[in-house]
Amino acid sequence: MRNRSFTSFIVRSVVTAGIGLGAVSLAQAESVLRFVPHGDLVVVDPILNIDYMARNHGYMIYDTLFAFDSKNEIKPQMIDTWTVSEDGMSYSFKLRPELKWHDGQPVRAADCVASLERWGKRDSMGIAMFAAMESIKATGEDTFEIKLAKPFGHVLAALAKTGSNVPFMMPERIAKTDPFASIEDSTGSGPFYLAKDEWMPGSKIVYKKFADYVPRQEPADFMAGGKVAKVDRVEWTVMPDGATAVSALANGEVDWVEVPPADLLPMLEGNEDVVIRSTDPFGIQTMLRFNHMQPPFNNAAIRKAVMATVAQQDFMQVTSGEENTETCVSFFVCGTRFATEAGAGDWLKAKDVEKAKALLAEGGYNGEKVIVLDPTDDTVPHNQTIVAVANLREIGINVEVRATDAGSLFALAGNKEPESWNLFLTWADATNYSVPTLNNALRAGGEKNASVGWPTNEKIQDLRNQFLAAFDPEEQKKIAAAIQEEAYSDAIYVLTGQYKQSTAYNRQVEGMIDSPIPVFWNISVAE
Amino acid sequence: MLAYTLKRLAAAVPVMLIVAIITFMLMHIGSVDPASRIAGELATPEEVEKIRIAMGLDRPLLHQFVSWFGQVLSGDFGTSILNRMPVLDLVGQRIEPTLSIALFTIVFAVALAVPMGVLAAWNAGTWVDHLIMALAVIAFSMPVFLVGYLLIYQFSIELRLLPVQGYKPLAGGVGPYLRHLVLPVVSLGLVFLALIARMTRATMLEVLNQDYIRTARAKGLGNTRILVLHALKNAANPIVTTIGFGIAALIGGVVVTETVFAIPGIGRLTIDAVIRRDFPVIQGVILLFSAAYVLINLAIDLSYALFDPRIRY
Repeated sequence: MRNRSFTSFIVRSVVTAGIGLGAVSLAQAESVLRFVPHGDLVVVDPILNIDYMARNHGYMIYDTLFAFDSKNEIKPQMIDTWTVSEDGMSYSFKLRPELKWHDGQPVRAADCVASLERWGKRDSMGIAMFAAMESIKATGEDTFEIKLAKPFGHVLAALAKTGSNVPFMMPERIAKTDPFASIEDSTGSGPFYLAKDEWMPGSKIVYKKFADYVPRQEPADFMAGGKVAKVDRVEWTVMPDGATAVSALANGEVDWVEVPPADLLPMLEGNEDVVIRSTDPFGIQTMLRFNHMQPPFNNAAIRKAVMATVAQQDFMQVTSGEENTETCVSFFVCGTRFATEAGAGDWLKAKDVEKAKALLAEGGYNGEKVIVLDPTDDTVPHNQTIVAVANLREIGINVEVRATDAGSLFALAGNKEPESWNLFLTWADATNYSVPTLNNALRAGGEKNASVGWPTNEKIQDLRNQFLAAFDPEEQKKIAAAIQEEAYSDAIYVLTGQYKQSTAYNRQVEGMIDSPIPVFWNISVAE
Repeated sequence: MLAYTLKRLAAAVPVMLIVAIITFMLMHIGSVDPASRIAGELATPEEVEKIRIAMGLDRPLLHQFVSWFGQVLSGDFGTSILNRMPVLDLVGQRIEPTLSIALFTIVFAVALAVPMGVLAAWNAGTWVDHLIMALAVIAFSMPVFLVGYLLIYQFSIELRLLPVQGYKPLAGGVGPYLRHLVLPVVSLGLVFLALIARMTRATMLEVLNQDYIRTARAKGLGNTRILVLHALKNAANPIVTTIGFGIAALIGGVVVTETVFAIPGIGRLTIDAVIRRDFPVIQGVILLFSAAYVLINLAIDLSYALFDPRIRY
């Protein structure tokens, strides 16, 4: 007994001494929000790199000219006033006064023009906008104009877009960097700045409040409104192991885990200090994508045979259980403005093996090997791959599964050679797929003008061009529906469902903005 | 001994060169390079090529290797092609956590394992021996990550005594530094402890059956003196060799430990670089690891002379 007491005393003394030392440093610290992101920030250039982490980093340190609010309306952000000519072919913009870069220099129209020019060489929407453009130029220190050579109905939407690549504004000297090389200077004009001396790639990214940032007066609303930094410091701690992140949250060592693994959420559910909810108002779509250039999926009947095996509820069951999942037949994300059921018919509601086999026979499938890429470290696509492979084998398709990692998936899928790949499962959030022209998987310009898989469908390409030129929202919706009908008819890719990702945070975290993108303005941490 | 040491160091040069060549070639064999990963799904081959050129990956392999190795010889291990930070800076940021874990793990394991092994050998065949060896088998059989999770659950989540994750530098205070090391060191050290304890027991058993031990007993020497001065010193060389191999194995174990406890060490730096095909970082780190292996082996070989007067260099 005596020994136990002594041991206990020693243990408690050591631990208390440690806690005491820790407490001293905390008392002297600034207000800090400790966040565990879903991945690591590998490249700091959100214009070069389409990775979501680069985009999320972009929202920390850069600002945008326009932004969407929660009603999907476009609101000015860095812009003070703007005018559009009656024919919609000419736009002039005036910047808000007192905007500054992190180095103290004023934000100039020339900076914005250079930023847009660089973005216009990397982003699909930017490329389309610049292709329709006659000129873009600064007309004063704080004014610039865009003149179109042909109709383009999405100028403001392109400037407000939230999917990668977001048109973030950078100083002209940085924006002049080759769009195919990474910038090395992270000066922006956003509400936080990157503390580069504290950045430890693969482990920690630190942002500090930018004292000279001038937020808009309107309340924060999705990506629009006043971006008021309410904490002095935001620390992103990279934790490759989800179990560690969840344990750290339960133990109060971090404030917010962006993507806690679904199977570990029960660990947190009984914890009164932790809130678990989805902050994504729209959701994430999951999908099965084909290689249209190689047999057997260069044949629409065989692609449809695969589509006939898909019952979305089966795929959602292995995605996030029954909670937070839904069946969705719209290629443009259910719950958003272009969502439609056009062309869906009975597809994706129930698995129809007989129909699938009949379509295989119609397509003349003769046992060619189908190579499925399986990103084993990405839980949702990996789980869905298991279901898809079972379905394919059930209808007699000869399947070979090739394991890979999530980061290599699209690089491997970029290989057009025979026997490189035929099919993979992946996901995309609403910021990228809710608009027909942003939905990369529906680009159908073949080898030269499509995302990996390289579908070829002239009708879809014509409709996309019509969509780009359309100014009227109702006309845009009609074109979106027509695109979807053709996408089902040609089985461009197969939707396997839609779900909302839960996030978990300490109850002390207040003011979190509902968005698929974790943003840190408006957030405070109660004492 | 100096001549022997210099000879061994000179022999390490071709070893390092071969390691450098193999590492470099392995990294460039795969079909995925960082350019295609950064370019994204919409990139055309031309765009990927432009990024590849900007990263300097379009140059002939031989040219890239010679250029890189020439830099290494002048002390410059290059720059990460992704985050643009010098490789030595990246290593410098992470060397302290890894060295701390490795050092404390060795101290923890050796401090417990050698007495346990001696005790087991001294009480061979008794319940003490069986208990110690059973514990060693359990410790050796449990994966490091599992031990890590169990420790986190018990000491961090249930008892709230120690932090789940992270690392605090020594400069930030001894208390936080030690608190953050306890769980990683114990989880990594158990395997190491079991290995050394088993080896100590085996070699001690062999030595304890030697004639000179019987003579020492017959002379009336005390147990402690026999065990420490006569038996353990003569059993030391195989134990030291095991510790040396263990240090090499530690580097592999550190990767898992650093991942489970979210510690920014060399192990995670290496894994992240491999996943992202950050060639200069991979090459630099592996070269440094190789140098460490060579030096550890040399140190172990030289230490044999301390325990066995018959060995001379």
